[in-house]
Amino acid sequence: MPEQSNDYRVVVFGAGGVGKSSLVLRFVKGTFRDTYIPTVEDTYRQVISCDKSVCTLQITDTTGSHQFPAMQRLSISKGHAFILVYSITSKQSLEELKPIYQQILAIKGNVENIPIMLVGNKSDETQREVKTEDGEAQSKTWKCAFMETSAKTNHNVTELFQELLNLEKKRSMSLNIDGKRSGKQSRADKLKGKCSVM
Amino acid sequence: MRSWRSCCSSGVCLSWIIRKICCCDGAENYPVGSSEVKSESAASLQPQTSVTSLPTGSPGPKRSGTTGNTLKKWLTSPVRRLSHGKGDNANAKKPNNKQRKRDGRKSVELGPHHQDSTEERGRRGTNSGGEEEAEDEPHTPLPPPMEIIKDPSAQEDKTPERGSFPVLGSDTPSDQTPRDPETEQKNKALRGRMFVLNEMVQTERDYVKDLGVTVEGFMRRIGEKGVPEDMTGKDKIVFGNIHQIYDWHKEFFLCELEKCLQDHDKLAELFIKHERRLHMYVIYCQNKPRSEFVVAEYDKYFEGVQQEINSRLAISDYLIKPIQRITKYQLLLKDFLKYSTKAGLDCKEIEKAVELMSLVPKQCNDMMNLGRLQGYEGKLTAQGKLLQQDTFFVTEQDSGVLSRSKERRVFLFEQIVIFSELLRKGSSTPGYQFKKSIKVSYLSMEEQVESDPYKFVLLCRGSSERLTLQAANVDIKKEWVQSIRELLDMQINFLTALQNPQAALTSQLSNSNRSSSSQPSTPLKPNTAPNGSPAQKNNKHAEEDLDEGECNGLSSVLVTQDYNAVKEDEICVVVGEKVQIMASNQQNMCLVYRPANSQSPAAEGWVPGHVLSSTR
Repeated sequence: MPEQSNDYRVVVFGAGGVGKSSLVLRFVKGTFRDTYIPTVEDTYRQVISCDKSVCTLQITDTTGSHQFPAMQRLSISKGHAFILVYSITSKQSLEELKPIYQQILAIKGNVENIPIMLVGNKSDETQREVKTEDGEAQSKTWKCAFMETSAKTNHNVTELFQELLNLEKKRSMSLNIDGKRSGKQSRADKLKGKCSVM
Repeated sequence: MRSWRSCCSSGVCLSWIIRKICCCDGAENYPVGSSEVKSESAASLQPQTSVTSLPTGSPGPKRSGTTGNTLKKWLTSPVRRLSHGKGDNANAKKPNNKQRKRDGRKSVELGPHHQDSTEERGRRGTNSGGEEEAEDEPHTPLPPPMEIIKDPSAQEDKTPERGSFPVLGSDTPSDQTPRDPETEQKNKALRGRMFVLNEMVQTERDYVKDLGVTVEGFMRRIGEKGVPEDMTGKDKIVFGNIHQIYDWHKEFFLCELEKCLQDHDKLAELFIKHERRLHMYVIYCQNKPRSEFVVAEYDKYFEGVQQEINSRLAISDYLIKPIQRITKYQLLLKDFLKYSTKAGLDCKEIEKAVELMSLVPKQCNDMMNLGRLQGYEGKLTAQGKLLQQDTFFVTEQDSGVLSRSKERRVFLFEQIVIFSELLRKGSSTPGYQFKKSIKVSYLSMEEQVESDPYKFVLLCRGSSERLTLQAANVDIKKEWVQSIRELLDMQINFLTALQNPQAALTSQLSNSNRSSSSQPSTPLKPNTAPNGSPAQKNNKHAEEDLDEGECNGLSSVLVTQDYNAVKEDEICVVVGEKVQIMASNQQNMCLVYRPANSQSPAAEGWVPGHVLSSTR
């Protein structure tokens, strides 16, 4: 179990092409790219509130490690929370999450206290292969939370991360920064133009 | 990271331009454009905030200087961002002087980048939301709508000369002469190919920078500061060969990648030629579990170093980056191959590069898994190359008695098959506990079981043991069956090539052993002989060979005490039974063969030496 630190590591898993990168980009930068969706992502950081003090949310993409479980294990062992992404347009992408979930189970042991979100992305697409009910049923089997999103239309993206933070039981987490803000922070907030749905 | 955000910014600019063009392209497009605008407004408040900030004299306009400068910056920045994939704060160059413009762009390339670093570092020190603030900046120059409308026409004129501009062309078909669909498809693929290459170079720059933080930040600081007394020497374990990796990428590989921007065909060749060099990563990954252990043990110390060098991320985050990076090359090359195929280009070399760049991370993955195998007494390095590893459900059958199905991690080496149990203790360093093994020289296989496409059977000669392996999918089963078939074929080929008397003598010894075990001699002979040859190579095999020789002279031994099996690879024996000793180990355990009798079937397994009469 990773020790509590000033970082809260969220690890994003999913098959290639389900939209992991677009989902993270939409959340972190508020943007969506149509012309070219990059293959390689970086680790993203964002300030959040944690037990009434400032904390850093760190989001790790796992692109490329899909068929290399020993390397995936490193990300899992250091993760505090997990987002398992499939595309509603691909039944296979949901199947490919099963060995990943098993890995998390094997490494974390008891997943009762591990925040895990099952995410059906590309909810704006009309060529649906995975029904909402099927996603929900799978999440019940895995005893984790479920949500359908669209990075393209920015549907449920902020809600996804807020819900993930709400699942954390050992610390009180929020996307908002609590407490009094300095002038610079206030200005930064204005420039960001962001707000969270609570 | 910084450059990456610039890439994202260029996407923003492009989206903005596209929407404006659509709005102006006649009434038919207007509803769609309007919808997009609304969607964007709903998605993010940033544009409104930017607009609001201008009249109130917020930092936005101050950073841009006068309105004139803002316009100039805007007019040129999309060009640079599209062509280079990153933001460029340099002053505008004259468009007429193309040669000078290109040179200027290159010469300025590193400068603004450096400035960005300084600026961002300053921001980060004062405001942890600095990343968000930095992202808002590109929006500031955008608002003047009338000027935007004029500029796209000028850009379109340049389209034939710049690969990046067809992006606009493809999005505004009404402004273009209709083209052959096939040509359009090919051009689109060539653009995609260029995007991939740009991304590879850009992310390589980011990667080299991150390695630099590790080597010139953490490593240097630790060298200066010294380590706790009980940690002496362990700092080398922490970093492994990351310094070597950094030097090579920084001084050679990144430079070569950048050259590929001018000549795309060099990309595949670069990876093919230097694939051996990337085996540095196998060594790094092999060391990683030990590195993790040390970092976890001295986490307070490393947190201190992190603060002293003002590092954004912890040392763990930097140490994992080589592992993350080595998995990316195959992804990018696959995309490159996809677009190259669509463009109708020759792809033979690219396919080779994809294959090689998939092999390296596979080997890294294998070494990391092997490092976690516990309890195997022999030398793994003496078992030859690791050919396959996967998790199976294994059912054991021994003369009619069927065990329940068990989950096993199975490793296939050139010389041995190892079965291990996954340790599920919920620790962050899971391992595999050795359970049993079958030497390839005793191995045989049945490829089909009960018409189940997922199953195959491994048998061990000299024993009635039968192991049914069920794979997770058909592909895994086929891979394993093929690998094992190749190994068994190799043994037969080796036998037919035997010429020298020493090998013949070894074969004869094995032959005698077989006859004493009452097994049919013909099918055993071809597969046992190669065992003699390895015996010449290391002492352990020689020792086993001698044991077999002794066994030949002492065809049976009496059991002097009852023994009940404790481990899976042991057997139960009863006082008075006769058994043949096949091997022994340093723990005074003996591998014995017990013939079938009226009370129990034949069996082979380990028993303690002390329960056997000591006629030797």
